Parts: sequence; structure tokens; C-alpha cells
Amino acid sequence: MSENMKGFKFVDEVYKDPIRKVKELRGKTGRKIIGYICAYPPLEILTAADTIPFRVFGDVNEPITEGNRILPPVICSYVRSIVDLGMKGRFDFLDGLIWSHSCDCMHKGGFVYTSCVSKPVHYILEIPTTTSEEAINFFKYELMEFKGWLEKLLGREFSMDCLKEAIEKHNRQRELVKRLYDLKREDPPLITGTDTLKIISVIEALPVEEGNRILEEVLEEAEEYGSRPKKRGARLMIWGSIIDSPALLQIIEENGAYVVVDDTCVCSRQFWLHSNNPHVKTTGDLMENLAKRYLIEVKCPRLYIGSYGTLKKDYKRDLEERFGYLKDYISKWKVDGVILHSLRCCDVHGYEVPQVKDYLDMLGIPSIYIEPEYDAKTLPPLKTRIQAFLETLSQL
Amino acid sequence: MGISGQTFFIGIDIGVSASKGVIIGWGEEIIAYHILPSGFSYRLAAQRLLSELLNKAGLTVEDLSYIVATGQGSPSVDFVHERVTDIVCSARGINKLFPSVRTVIDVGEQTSRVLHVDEGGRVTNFIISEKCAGGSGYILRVLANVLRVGLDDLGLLSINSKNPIKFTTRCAVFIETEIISMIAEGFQKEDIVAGIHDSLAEKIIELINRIGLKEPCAIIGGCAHDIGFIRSLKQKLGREIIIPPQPQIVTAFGAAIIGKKSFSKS
Amino acid sequence: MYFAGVDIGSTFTKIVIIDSKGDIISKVIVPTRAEQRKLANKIMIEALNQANLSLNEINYIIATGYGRFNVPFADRQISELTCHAKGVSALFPSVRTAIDIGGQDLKGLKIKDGKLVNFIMNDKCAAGTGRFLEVMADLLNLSLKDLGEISLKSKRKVEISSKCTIFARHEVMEKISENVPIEDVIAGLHYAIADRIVRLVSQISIEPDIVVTGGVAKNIGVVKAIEDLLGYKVLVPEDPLITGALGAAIIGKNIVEGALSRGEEIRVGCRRLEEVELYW
Repeated sequence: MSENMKGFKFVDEVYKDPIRKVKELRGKTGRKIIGYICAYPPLEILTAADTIPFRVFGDVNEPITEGNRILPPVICSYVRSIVDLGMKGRFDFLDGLIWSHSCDCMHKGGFVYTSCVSKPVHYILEIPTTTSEEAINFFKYELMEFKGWLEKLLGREFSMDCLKEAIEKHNRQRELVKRLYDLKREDPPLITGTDTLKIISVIEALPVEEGNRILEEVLEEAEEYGSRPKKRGARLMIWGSIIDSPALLQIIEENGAYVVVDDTCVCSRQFWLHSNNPHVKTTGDLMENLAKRYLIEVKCPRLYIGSYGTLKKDYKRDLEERFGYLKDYISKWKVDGVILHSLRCCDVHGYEVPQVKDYLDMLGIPSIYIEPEYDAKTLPPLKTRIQAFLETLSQL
Repeated sequence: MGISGQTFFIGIDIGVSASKGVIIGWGEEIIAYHILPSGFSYRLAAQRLLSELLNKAGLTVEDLSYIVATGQGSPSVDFVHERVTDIVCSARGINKLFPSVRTVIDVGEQTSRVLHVDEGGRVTNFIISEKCAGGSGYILRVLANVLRVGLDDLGLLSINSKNPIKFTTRCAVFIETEIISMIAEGFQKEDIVAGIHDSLAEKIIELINRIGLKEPCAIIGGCAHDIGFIRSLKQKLGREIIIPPQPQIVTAFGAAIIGKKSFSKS
Repeated sequence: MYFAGVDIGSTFTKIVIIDSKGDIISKVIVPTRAEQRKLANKIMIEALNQANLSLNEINYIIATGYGRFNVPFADRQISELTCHAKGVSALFPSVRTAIDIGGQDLKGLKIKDGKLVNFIMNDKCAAGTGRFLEVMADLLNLSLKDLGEISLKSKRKVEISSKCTIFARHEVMEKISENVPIEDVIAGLHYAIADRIVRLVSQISIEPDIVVTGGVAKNIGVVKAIEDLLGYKVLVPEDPLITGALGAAIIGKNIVEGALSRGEEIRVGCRRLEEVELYW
């Protein structure tokens, strides 16, 4: 059935139930499925070990019941959803799960998960918050620890040659995702923000080779797919935390706007969209290359790249250093307005919002801040705000 | 000391919307009880309650050996011997009526609570929905007002529902708007009522989950009169729930018993 | 030419009809109840009668407010944030900050050169909205209309929590039990609601001139409390309820005039009104 489908049709089919698809693949190839929750764990290592990296999402439609028993009330509802689903057995099918120390919630959520949920086995990846040489070195050794754990789990080691091959494949994937995003530089864009999320959700559920094949097919079909009659609408960028369900994007795009580019964890940040050269070097110390690139290229607000350590303070320069890449996004994708999105209680993004807004004000780009819960039921009230924002863009 | 050497104790539970009182004798038997709306002054409500109770029991205030007050409004009552938290009173009251009960669910008009009780009637654990009134019986009152029916009529209305509506508002004050818009959009009354019952039941279960359920469990408070809500709660809980015959006065009853115990100690 | 704006709010439904000069030629305000679609039809008929017009003589109809998708004869739906900004700017061209205190929501609008540039909204919690005062008036058996005057009589207002309507209500009962004079309690309530309002709107930074609209703007106690907390005088329109509907009508006028000047066609919706009986 899905063997005969390709490109967009294949994406639609797999999107209905990615877990089923990836379990099918495991059945056929014997490759273990290792889940990960954040954009930091280098997938190259998982691919080199001949496992299938599977990005774990929460579920905005599932009411949180078990999770509330063992988690405090005022924490990120995304982490709460993951813990809740884990307790309900949703992730039992995984052969391993990687939690990252990307923020306190993730970190402590990982502790709670590991003590309260029996499956699957897990690893908590420690990630530095600066990009100094010492930090990169630390991350490299952390990745080697992780490699050791993975090899023990699988009962076999993998070579640097395998890692080199894996790096090449993931380099290719990053290239292909860039080209996917280029489709949205057209006016109107050839694919919508909702399309993008669906495609990326699917490739994040499948092995890298499959993902690359799907991307190539989608790129081929794009002209035809995008040539269906479409109205021109406001071109928006969404900046923020976890958006792993199309619910929010649909509300925006139903109102006649397009999300032409994003700076979010599940989509652009995972593929280093901002980088002119998203290729990890395949010569020299491969683990060090991975450590360095991942630490620097994943644009998560948890990492402060700015006037840290300098002796002269300059707010504007600081903003430029931290958010300059957004200026590129805005000009390349011809963005009319920005939606700043932070899940309720997300420290990492919440703290950043006023300064990103200042930067956007500096550039003269209109923006709106929304703070939804990770819960589909709370999205309808956003319709009025989003509609009002779009009306300000159209100068009513 | 009262008529022919008998002693009487009074427990009054001054809630945000209703004030309840019970008079008991030395054997902890209920002599009289009364419920009236709290109005806007806790103090006045308590005074009126006291005089109604004495009237019903044919007693005067000198016949009372001990007065215990509980509930949100108890700090405003001046004529008491002792003030005790309602959680402790509820536990004592339920223990007298149903000593086997280990969990009490109290859905009040501003807050809801769940408590664990041991065989001696002591509270071993409790949780209160403090953040807002969204998970309290306030929404049943709002619903009854919009539909212009009494609280005890709500149960019959929801029984025929086939498609209970899912409500999304958490705010007890705003749920009225959502109810009105459901009516505007032509949804059936029974589905709206059933939807509210489900919504409240889910919030109570969230609360129960945070503390755990020890069986058997009982429910007290005015909302226990709404059989539709009880039906929804039982269904979602998957357990039997004991409903005392006069669920609203259990806490006041417990307060009176505590009064008797305090009196006998002194 | 004539243009109509229909604002279906949670508490009141308002219709305004303006002419090409932007003058109001008729307006109707009715409490919103359950049957929004039928109500919109009914009051449109009333507004047309008042203006001596037929539905087909209206060139453009815009619906706004939370019930805006329940107006079958509207040509377009625009958010109430945009409409209020437009309406307030028409009445007070110097406005920079508008605060709309509705029955069940609270909006802060930042306006520059007559256009909405930023906004903030609370529609999740009753504190800071008309509901807050309604709940208290209900408790104390007073009429909403009298609350403002009573609060002005207070010499020493009490502190009342501004965070949750239901908790504030409990505090009122306590204070009354302590024999605090009722005007002091009511003044406390007015400051509580004003505090909540100012806190929210401050998030988009408050700059004069400041205009307050919505049903609660009719309450002189709330207006004075807001002025006290802000340190600025605020402006209140003669009819604070109609700014949304007025703005909607003006936007309709701009759309039609813009289209005409460009030689474009104007698409309108279904111009049909049924005579309906209300069941509520």
C-alpha cells in the first residue's frame, strides 16, 4: 500500500500513524528505534549505530491525567504531556529514549520519567550552555559516553567509518530541508507551514535514507503541488518553542496567512536552517566535529551567544549578535510579521521574548506574542488575536 | 446544662453561599438541622442560623454546652467556643455516619476538596483546589441559573443526553458565556447539562488523582444533590460512591461532634 | 451611501449605521442573549427602521465581537480589536491607548495615527471585566448603576484582592461581617478592578491620550480609580458601548471608498433578513 506511494501522498499516508510505520521498518530490518526529545542529540551517532532515530512528540489532544500526579503544577505542559504519555505506555515501543538537559524542565522531567516509567531504557544527555572550547570538549566527552551506552545497549560497537557515512547522509538531509524551505520563498509559497510540519514530522520518524528519499520526491513534485490556485496572503514567521502539532498553524493559515519560515525546535532548528554550510566535516576528529557543530548551530534560546564575557555593554550589538540570523530569515522569506510563541511556563523562551521583540521593533517588523498551553482545547481563543494581528498587517 | 440535665452541642458550617447548622445531644444523635443562604454577611448568616436552629429544637442558647464553627465564614462568627477547619469536621462527620469510608469528596461552591480518613475519623491526607473556583460547584449553580431550573432538576435533564458537549472554559464565572453560546448554536439542553456534569466530574477526578483514592469513598456538599453530576462522577471514577442522606450537613454534624468531644475533655 | 457595523459582545449587542460623512444616523443596543443569529436580525431591522432605510440601501455591513460569525447578513467579519481602535480614533483622534472594559473581557489597544499597532487581551478570567462588578452587585443586592456613585462616598477604601472574582467576593463577605462601611468596601472593589485593568494594559505601555470604553466606562468610580492609579485623566465617549460597532461601520466605509477609487468591484454577502420571534 504505501510502497507504491511517493512524495506528498506518502507523507500524508505515513503522517496518519508514524509509529506504526517505524515499527514496520523495525520488523523488516531489525534496526532498533531510539527516541529523542530535542534537537541537540546528534542523530549521526544513532544512524551510525544502525538504529532508527525517532523524534518523540507529545499529544495536544490527550488530556493529562497521570502526569499531574507526579509532576508539580507549574511546569511546561509539553514535558508534562510526554511524561503522561510515557506513564500510559505510549512509548513502550521504543528501544531507548534520550532525554536532553536542554532546560530544567526537560532535565527534571527526565529524572521523574526514569523513576516512574519502566520502559524504555533511557539516557540523559548533558549539554553545555556556552560554546567555549572547554564546553565543546566537555560535550565531546559526553557524546563519547553516550556512544558507549548505545553500544552496550545494542551489544555491538560501531566504527568511525560508519559514523562518517552517517554524517554524510545527515549533511544531505540538512541540505534537502534547506531546499524544502526555499519552496516557501515564492509568493504565494509552494507549500504551507502546515505542509512543512507534516513533512518534517514524517522524516523525523524515519531513518535518514528514507527521509532523504521522501524529501527528494517532494521537491520534484513541488512545482505541480504548489501550482494549485492559492490566494496571496500575509507571510509570517513563527519563532518559539515546541510546535509539534499542526493545530496552531492551521488556525493561522485558515485566516489567509502563510507561515513561510519558522525558528522552532521541531522544524528549522533541528536542521540548522540559518547556516550557510550545514555540513559537518567528515575529516579529523568526527566526535569533536559533531560536538562543535551541534552546540553552535542549534539555535535554542537556552544558549546565550551575545555580549557574554565582553567588557563593554551595547544592547543593540548584543541583540544583533543573538538574533541577526532572524534578519536573514525575514529578508530571504519576505516576512511581513512575526508570531512569538512560548508555551506557558517555558523559561527558556519566555525570558527571551522581550528581547526578540525589541530586535524586531528595531527592524520595524510587527510581532505578536502568544502564550498557549500545550493543549488543543486552549487554541480557539487565539483565533481573535491572530485575526487582529493579521488585520494590523493588512492596514485595515 | 439544659432541660432536665441534658447537654446539647451545635456545629455551624458557614459556607460562601450556604450556611448549615446541626444540634446534637450527648449521644451524638441529631436533634435538629437547618440550612439557609449565607447572603452577604457571614456574621448575620450565623446569627440567623443559630436562632432558627434553637427554634426548631425548642431550645434556648443557655441549653447549649458547646458551639463549634467551621467553613470559610467561621472567622466572622463571634459567639463560638471553638473554630475548627472544615476538613477535620467533614472527616469526623462522615466517620460517624459511615465508619468504613476512607475518602471524602467535598464539592463546595468555591473550592473542592478530597480527604483521606482513617477508622478513627482522623484526616490522614487532604487536597484543596485552591487556584480558582473553576473546579467547584459554582458552575452547577451558574448552569441552573441560565436554564432557570433548580439544582436538583439538573440530574433529570442530563439523563437523556447522547452527546455530552465538551466545555473548554476553566473559569467558573465565564462558563456562563460558553453555555449561552451553546444554546445559541442550537445544542440540546440535555447535552449541555451532561457536558457541564462531565466537565466538573473531570476536574474533581484531576483533584482525586493528585492524592489517590482509598475505597470506600463518599461525597458530601450541596452538589451531591445533583444526581446527574453524581452519575458522571461515578462513571468516570469507575467506583461506587456513598451519598449520605443529607450530604450538605455532614460537615456541620462533624463540627457538633467535635464540640461534644472538646466539652467532655474539659 | 450607508454603512453598518454589528458588534455582538458577550453582554450587549450593538448596531450602528453611519452615512458617507461618518455621522451616526441610527444605533441600537440590546442585551445579548442566547440566540445571537436571530437577535442580530431583529436589531438590524430596528436600526434600519430608525434610519428609515432598507437593507439593500446599506452598502457594506461588517460584523465584529465574539459573536461575529453569527451574523448571516454581514459582508465581512473583523476582529473587535481592530474595530474598537478604529471607532475610538474617530471619536478621539489624539488617542494613543484605548482600554475597552467589556462584560466578559478586557482589551488594551495601542493606537498610532488611527491604526491599531499593538494589543493585549484578557478573556480567560473574570477579574478586570464587567462580570466582576456584576457578581459583587448581585451579592450585595445593589444595582450596577448605583455602584459607582456609592464608591465615591468612601473616605477610606479597603484593600480587596484583584486576582479572582470569586475570592474577592469572599473577602467582601468577610469585610461586611466586620462591619466595614459598605461604601468603603465598594470603593475597594473599584480599586481592585482598576488595578487589574491597569496591570494588564501596562504590558503594552500606557501613553496619553487614554480613552476608556465599554459598559464599565459608565461607572464613574472605576474611571476615577483608573485615573488615580495612572496619574492621568482619561477620556470617556458619550456612548462608551458603541465604539466597536462604529469602528466596524467606518472600516466598511473605508473598504467601499477604497474599492470605488480603484474601480474595483465590491463583493457583498446575502442581503436577507427574516422576521424572527425570540424565544429567550
